[in-house]
This record gives sequence, C-alpha cells and structure tokens, in this order.
Amino acid sequence: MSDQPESFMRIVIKEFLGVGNWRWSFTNDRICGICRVQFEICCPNCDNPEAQCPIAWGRCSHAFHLHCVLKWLDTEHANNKCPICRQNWELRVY
Amino acid sequence: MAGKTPSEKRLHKELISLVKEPPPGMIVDADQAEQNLNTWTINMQGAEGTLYDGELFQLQFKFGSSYPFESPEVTFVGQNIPVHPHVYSNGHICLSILTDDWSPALSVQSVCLSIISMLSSCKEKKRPPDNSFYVKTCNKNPKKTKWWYHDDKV
Repeated sequence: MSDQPESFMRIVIKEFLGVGNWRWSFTNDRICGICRVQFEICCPNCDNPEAQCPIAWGRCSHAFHLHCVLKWLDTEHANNKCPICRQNWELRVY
Repeated sequence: MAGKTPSEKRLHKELISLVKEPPPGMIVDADQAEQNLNTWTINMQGAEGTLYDGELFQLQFKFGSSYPFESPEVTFVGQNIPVHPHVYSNGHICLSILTDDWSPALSVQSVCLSIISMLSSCKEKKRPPDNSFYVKTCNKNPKKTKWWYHDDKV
C-alpha cells in the first residue's frame, strides 16, 4: 500500500448499474427477410415493443419473425415455401 | 415511425436504402414516393453494351396495403416502353416473380434488378407475339392477367 503515489484517489463504489447488450447468434442475417426489422426487435405487427415476438427457424436454415412467416404461409401464393430459398418450409424444433 | 402501418414501415426502409445505395442506372423519384408511399416511379437506364444501351425507361410500382405479403403492381410507363418479347406495348411485363413466384423476401430493388437483367439478356427487340390482342383485351391491372410463363430464355 505504501507504494501507491500520494495523488492516488481512493473511491468507494456504492452502487453500479449494469447495462447489457444481446443479440442472436443463430444466423448471419441481422434482420428478418420479410419485415426487414432486426431480430432483436419485435415485428411491425406487434404494437407493443415489449411483446413476445419469437423467432422461427426453418429446416432450410432461414429465420424470420414467427409472426411474419406465419402471415406469409397464410397467403395464397406461399405454397408452404420458404420466402428466401423456396424450399418447403418446415419449422426446426429444438 | 409511430402511426405507420407495417407495410409503410417496410416501404420507408426500402426507400431510404434505394436513395442511399441505388443499383447502377436506377433512380427513384424520392419526393413523389415520400408524398405517396404507395406509388413509386423508378427511372431506369438501359444497361451499357445491351440492345437498350442509352435508352431511358420509367417503371411504376404500386403497393397494396398487404405488401410485402402481396406482390406490387409493376408496369413500364411514360414515353418509352422497351420493345422486348416479355413487355407489352401498354407497359405490362410478363415476369413470374410479379405474380405466382412472388416472395416477401423480394424487394423493389430485387424486382428492378430482375427487370434490367431480363432486358439485358434480350437478343432481338420485338413485342410479344400476342401483343395487339392482349393490349386490347387485358385488365388495367397486370396482376389480374392469368400469365402463362412459357419462355425463360430472354
């Protein structure tokens, strides 16, 4: 302790606030190919930013917001195809 | 972006990226698009070294409220409609991604690139064989046409 320079300031941390940043690492794509919104943010059909807006992975390896891909599969032209590779869309289950 | 519908949100993102990084030879009329997000005009130059080199075209995009789950209505408009075996003289385009093969992962930019590439691979400038009949009888909206995609060589 005696080695410390005299100008050394002692501080006492009373509290601190941690801020975390997270992102999905499942894919190189940062955004949903349907709505173009980042996966970490809910899709534009969720009106509440806190909404649970899950991600859906396909067996073909493409990922979308679940709400976005379900809306697509519900359309007349979808024919159960992945919007990106046009292979049959099959949800990957973990 | 409060108050925007999901389709307007996506169109707004597309407009920003098209203005920032337009594909070569394409300019979107951004003022018009911002006033009315549902109708865009793209000025397109025929690619160098192709039959359309030096020509200028105008493409019109009309978006419905369920875009991108539904394809946009895309037609050539204005003075110069390209003379091409898949482009009718009224501006309608026979291109499968505009109807049956549409996918919500496609965009204004990818449609423009498909169209310029369709023009660029053309070997002989001519109208579709059924042009005069089609133009007289078709609906104003090309999406109402039951297209028969028969030829993928040009």
